[in-house]
Amino acid sequence: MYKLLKYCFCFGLLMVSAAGNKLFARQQQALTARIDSIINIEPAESVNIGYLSPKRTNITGAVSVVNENRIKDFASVSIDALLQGQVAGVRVVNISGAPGGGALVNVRGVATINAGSLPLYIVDGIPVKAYRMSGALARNADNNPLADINPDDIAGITVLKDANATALYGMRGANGVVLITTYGGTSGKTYLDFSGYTGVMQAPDPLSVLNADQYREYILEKERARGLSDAEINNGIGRYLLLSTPANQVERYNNNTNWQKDALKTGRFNNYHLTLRGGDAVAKYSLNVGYTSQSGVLKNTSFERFSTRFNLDYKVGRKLSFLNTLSYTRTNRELSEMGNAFNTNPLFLTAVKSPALTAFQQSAEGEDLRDLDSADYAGRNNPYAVQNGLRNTSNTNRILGRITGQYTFSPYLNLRIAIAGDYFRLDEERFRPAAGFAPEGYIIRSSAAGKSYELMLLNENTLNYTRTSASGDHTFDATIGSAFQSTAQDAKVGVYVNATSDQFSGISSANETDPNLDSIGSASPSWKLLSFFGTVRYRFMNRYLFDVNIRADGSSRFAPRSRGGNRWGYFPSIGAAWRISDEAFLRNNKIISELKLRTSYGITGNQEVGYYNSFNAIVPAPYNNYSAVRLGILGNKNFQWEETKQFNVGLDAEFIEGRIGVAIDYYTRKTAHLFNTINIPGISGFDKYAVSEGAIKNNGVELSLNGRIFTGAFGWQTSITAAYNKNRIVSLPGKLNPVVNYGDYSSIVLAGNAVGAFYGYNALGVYANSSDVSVRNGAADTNPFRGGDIIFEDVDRNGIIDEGDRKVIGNTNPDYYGGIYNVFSYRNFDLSVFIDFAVGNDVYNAQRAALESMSNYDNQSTGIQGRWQKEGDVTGVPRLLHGDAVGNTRFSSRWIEDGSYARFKAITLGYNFPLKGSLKNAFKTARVLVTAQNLYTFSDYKGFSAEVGSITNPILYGVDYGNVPQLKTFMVGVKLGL
Amino acid sequence: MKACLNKILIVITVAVLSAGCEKLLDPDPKDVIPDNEFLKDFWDAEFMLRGAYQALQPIVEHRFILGEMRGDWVKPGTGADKDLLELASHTVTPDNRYTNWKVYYDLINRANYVIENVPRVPTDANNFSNFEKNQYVGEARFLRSWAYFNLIMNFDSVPLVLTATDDISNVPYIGATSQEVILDTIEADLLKAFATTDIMVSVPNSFEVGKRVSEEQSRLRVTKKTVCALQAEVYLWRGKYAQAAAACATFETVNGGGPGNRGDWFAMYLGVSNQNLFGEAMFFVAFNFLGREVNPLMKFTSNDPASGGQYMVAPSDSAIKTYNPNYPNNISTSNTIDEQDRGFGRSYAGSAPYYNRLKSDPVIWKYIGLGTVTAGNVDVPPNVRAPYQSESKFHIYRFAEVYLLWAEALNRLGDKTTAISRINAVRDRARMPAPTVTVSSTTEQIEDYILRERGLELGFEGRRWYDLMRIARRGRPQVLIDAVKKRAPVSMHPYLETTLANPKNWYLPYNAEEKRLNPNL
Repeated sequence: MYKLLKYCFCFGLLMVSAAGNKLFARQQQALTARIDSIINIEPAESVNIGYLSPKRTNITGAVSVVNENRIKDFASVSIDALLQGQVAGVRVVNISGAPGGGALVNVRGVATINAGSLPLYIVDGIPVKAYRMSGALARNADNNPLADINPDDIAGITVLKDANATALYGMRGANGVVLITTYGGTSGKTYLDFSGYTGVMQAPDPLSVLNADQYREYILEKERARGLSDAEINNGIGRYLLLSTPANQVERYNNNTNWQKDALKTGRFNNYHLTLRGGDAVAKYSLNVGYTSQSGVLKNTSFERFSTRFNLDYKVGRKLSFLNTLSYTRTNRELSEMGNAFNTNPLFLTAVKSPALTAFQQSAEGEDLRDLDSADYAGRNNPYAVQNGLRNTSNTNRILGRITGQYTFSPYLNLRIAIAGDYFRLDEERFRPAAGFAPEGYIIRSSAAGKSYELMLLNENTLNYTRTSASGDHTFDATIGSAFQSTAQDAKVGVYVNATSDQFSGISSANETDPNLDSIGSASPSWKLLSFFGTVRYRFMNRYLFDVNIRADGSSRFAPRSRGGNRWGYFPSIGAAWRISDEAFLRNNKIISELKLRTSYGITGNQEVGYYNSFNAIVPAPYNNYSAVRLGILGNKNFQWEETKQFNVGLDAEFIEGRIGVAIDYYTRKTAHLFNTINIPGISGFDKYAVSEGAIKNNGVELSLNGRIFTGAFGWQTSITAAYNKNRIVSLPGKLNPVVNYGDYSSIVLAGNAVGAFYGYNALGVYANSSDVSVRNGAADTNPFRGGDIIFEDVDRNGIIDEGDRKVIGNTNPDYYGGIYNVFSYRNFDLSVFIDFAVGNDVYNAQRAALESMSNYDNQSTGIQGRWQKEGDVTGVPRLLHGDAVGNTRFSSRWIEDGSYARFKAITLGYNFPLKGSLKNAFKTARVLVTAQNLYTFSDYKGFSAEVGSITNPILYGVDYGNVPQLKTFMVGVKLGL
Repeated sequence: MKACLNKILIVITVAVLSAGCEKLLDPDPKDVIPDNEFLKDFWDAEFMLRGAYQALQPIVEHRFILGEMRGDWVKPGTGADKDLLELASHTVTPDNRYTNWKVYYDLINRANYVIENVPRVPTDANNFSNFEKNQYVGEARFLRSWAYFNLIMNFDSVPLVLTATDDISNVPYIGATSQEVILDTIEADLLKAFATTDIMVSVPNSFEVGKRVSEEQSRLRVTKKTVCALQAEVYLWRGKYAQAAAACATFETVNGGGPGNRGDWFAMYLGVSNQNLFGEAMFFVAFNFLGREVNPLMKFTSNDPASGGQYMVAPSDSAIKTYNPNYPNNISTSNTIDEQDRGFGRSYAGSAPYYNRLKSDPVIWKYIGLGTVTAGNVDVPPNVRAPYQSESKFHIYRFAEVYLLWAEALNRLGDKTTAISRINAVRDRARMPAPTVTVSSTTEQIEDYILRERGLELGFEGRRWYDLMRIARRGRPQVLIDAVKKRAPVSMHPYLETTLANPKNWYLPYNAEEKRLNPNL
């Protein structure tokens, strides 16, 4: 896989050297502004860093800017997914290629084990909900709240990475901050921009599994191998293998169904967006309206979004102005279940389902009847029923708004008072009929409905002072402020089971004692944050820059001082930069146009550590259906936020009037007071309590490189981002159970290892001969190894393969990740090629583990045909073994695969119409484009896609139960400016 | 002066602001209640006490498995897992999940919390007098004693925690206290519990002031009778026969009645309220499927996969032969040969789906039946609990048990006549003839007969192993060894003989994880 990395970097280097050669050979030429804007080189621009917008050259922190044009033209609908490959040090893992799917974003590595790991997203000054509501009704499906923000509304994104940039976000800043600005109004001209895209998404190739004949042959061989006689087989499984099938059942078991192919189709994507911008010196406005619809490659999955946004800024008199933003978004989703929902995840189920069966019941002549075939002898649901009968829908309504009043006392001093709100409402429904499904315990069919909302209200007040001395040598900016934020969530779920027929899909119930009313639940966590903050920025001679920031946050999640707790956290940071290029000795240098050395140090926090850990909590314990309570949570009054201390040193350089731009950052982040739960003796009456103990260290290097290589009629620009991060657990509280068991796999948290380490046996191969076995299988050796079994490494060398032989067998964190972006232009054509890559991360291919287990009645991959069959066979695939008493399928390195990849994420060809004559009167701009996305991926991974995310366990990415990959997408688009 | 005033003003403003700020940040949870806001009135006290009883629900699995699996009345079924097989073969390892005693200590902690916190609830003229306050504490003392008694019967010596763990600073990391000291504590606690509990339980009326006696709650909560029953068992365990007999006599006096009606025996295992519960005193753990409270007994004992039955525990051949000597060939209608009210179709039955076939794998019927089963070969719809609705109650104490404990004490005290009459009272109620032991039988013979009778009457209710241990402790280890051998495969006999000869091996090892977490253990 490292060859891929090599490839990526060679490609990059090639371009850099090409640039170098050309630079000296050619006369510099001015670039068109459009291409400039695609590549992020605009040295003098103001950068939104939250409470301030200094010039880019005056920033001391590690801040990356993503230009609007870099996130357009994609089929992804969610801003988190669009950040992939764009920013050095920001790792983005798409959860799936399902419609509306989001991603998981980590800035500078994972710095937590149990707390939230997402960055703070702020849209036009509103901290928006990014964490998913817990417990989606559609199992493991993604109701990503960030899909409510239409990327087409976005004018720019800034990612704050180091402590100096994020310290003003205090207790929420440790995971980084993503600042999003939407289109504002203009003064003077009025613009009306329209964009429209339409395209198709190609279904992935099915995994190669056995056909019906091969399947029957394999099952029969397996049953014989377990020692069953022909009579026993005929009385048992033989009935399903056409051996002893009753005459009236033959047609049921005599099919050859390609379940995977039947489950997949071509998806469609449509996206339309209209922006109206205008205004004058007094008022500026912008109106955005967008509509997106997407249908998935799995049947009955879709995403639809309607969004509207209105931004209005106006002045009242000379000193008072108001800045308003208001948006409303509606999304509708049809979801399929994902992940380890083994019997309802279509991609998992269709691969393991017996190919001998078919969707519908069969007549004696082998024709489809109307009724669906029921669940089968292996307990597997009918995949057709899963796709057509199981109904998972959700919709969201989202309102974001902020009103800022600004009063200007003098040119130096202004006051801003803002109120902001974020209302997120999610309605979910799930209906699982009986037809085609295996009962789950007493549940034959079930209907569930969920209603949840989150409401965030914020008041933020800042006083801003800025002054430059008469000589111009000293510039002084200061802001002090206070904020109060309150967030309340309320989620209610009702489940009704075993209604009399599949026609009743609602949760209506006769009365509250109806035994079919399975459960009614609610969860209403809330939290509040009170903050005071201040920042001072001082600049001397435009060369020496100093920043000091501090924020004090008090959170309702933690116990007050009066109870001996840690309610208030203080988050300071300092930063300094030296603009060497402004020194006399470099000022007139022709090669180096900008050179800045910067460094920072600071402390930030992460408050996403649960709501009820700091106090003893009484919880319900109903007995015989009467109300009752118990002391249920042992609170820890010392409980606190996770705290990250980060050091950053960076170099920004631009050469030859900005034709080459380089930014390099080195950082170390040490996160302490980790949210952990420690186990305590059972004699306490409890299992555990929450502590703030343990530490993780991330350090890494980030590189951004921009180059305008050719600047003539034929233009070529390139932009490379790459990051290296090393993640290591430094310490953990004692009494922590390091091995975390997730059922079919395990991970380990252990000092010295990375977060998200897979923990299991090391499989070295397959015993060719029984005589090769020299270890016992467990102390008792009840099921000894023999030829055809997996050779597990005897790590502790005691001659016994047991739990002591488990070790770290994989790491879900990549070593390197990033993106390469190239734009070529010729006359009115432009071509962009965008590659993203991740190298060195491991994936647990759980789907392959099911498809090669050879231990039950599931269908298997064609790979098992090369299995060990007789003494002396040399192969990597073990023998078949019903029930697997030996444990060949145990969680081992056999299922861990290299998840490295490099991918042509987007190749886009655009044409800009030369506007002449009547066209010129009609349009300001006119552009058409065609784009192909995810066209090809270099990867050795054997499943659908090495890129898998999990919404239930964001720390342990890379567990693949069959996941819709990032799809090959072909789109055409048109953009018109009126 | 003015400057001074200004300063004071600023200080006050800051103080008011910061005080206000702190209040602003007080959590306002809706899903849980901070403990400092709880136990404000009698309802809170009642909910807290009931929450302590709720801790009995998860104990049922442990009580059933630990009390039966090691004894002779059950055998591992085809679905028995490794941990159950270890118990059955007396090869329990520290990783066995049944060595995890957390469920018992959970009950102990909840009881401790009631004992410490209910007294601070203000009294209420109509609903919560000092009597009731003490009653609640007394009930909690019983629950704590019962949990410790179960613990010492299983683990010999265990850590003795008598204060509530209500802060991370008082999480106990302590060593074990000897069995005798714990038993002393139990005895003392039970004396206090007897003094403060009531004869029947009263509950507040919903719509008017005052209280009413609730027969239902008297079976779900501890009364003086329940306390007497545990006292009798504890004294018998310690060989204090006179005190045991006295406790049983007190039970009789408090109860004010004898055995219930003949022929209603199986009704004891049915509903919780408003049904004929045999008219006898009893204390049991209830489950209610409406609230999705279910016990695992259907999973353990049923062999119907459609009901979630995994057939992990089955009646032993020797137990079945005691009920019905000719099983599976024949069951007569003669009560001199076969148990009519307690045998086939009552304590146990045949296999799913009809449960009435004699020659099929037998299942324990007490927890899955909703009525009795008559042996036969005709397919009749069985009167069985709905799939997965495993809400049968689980008896902790009942009248027949106290009578048999009484017989055991009297027998050891030399009063064979009364002892036999107590046995006979239990047998007669089940329409069985007088016992075959007489005053001329030896003390041991009568004791063996009581053990046999306890099996028939109380079989599969999680008592058997403790009964064997109690008798073995009186210098009769062979009774225990022979009983286990009778159920175990012959190949196991030499191992059982040597292992069980050592009384230390009657107890379980400490759980490995618990030892890791508590090095003082």
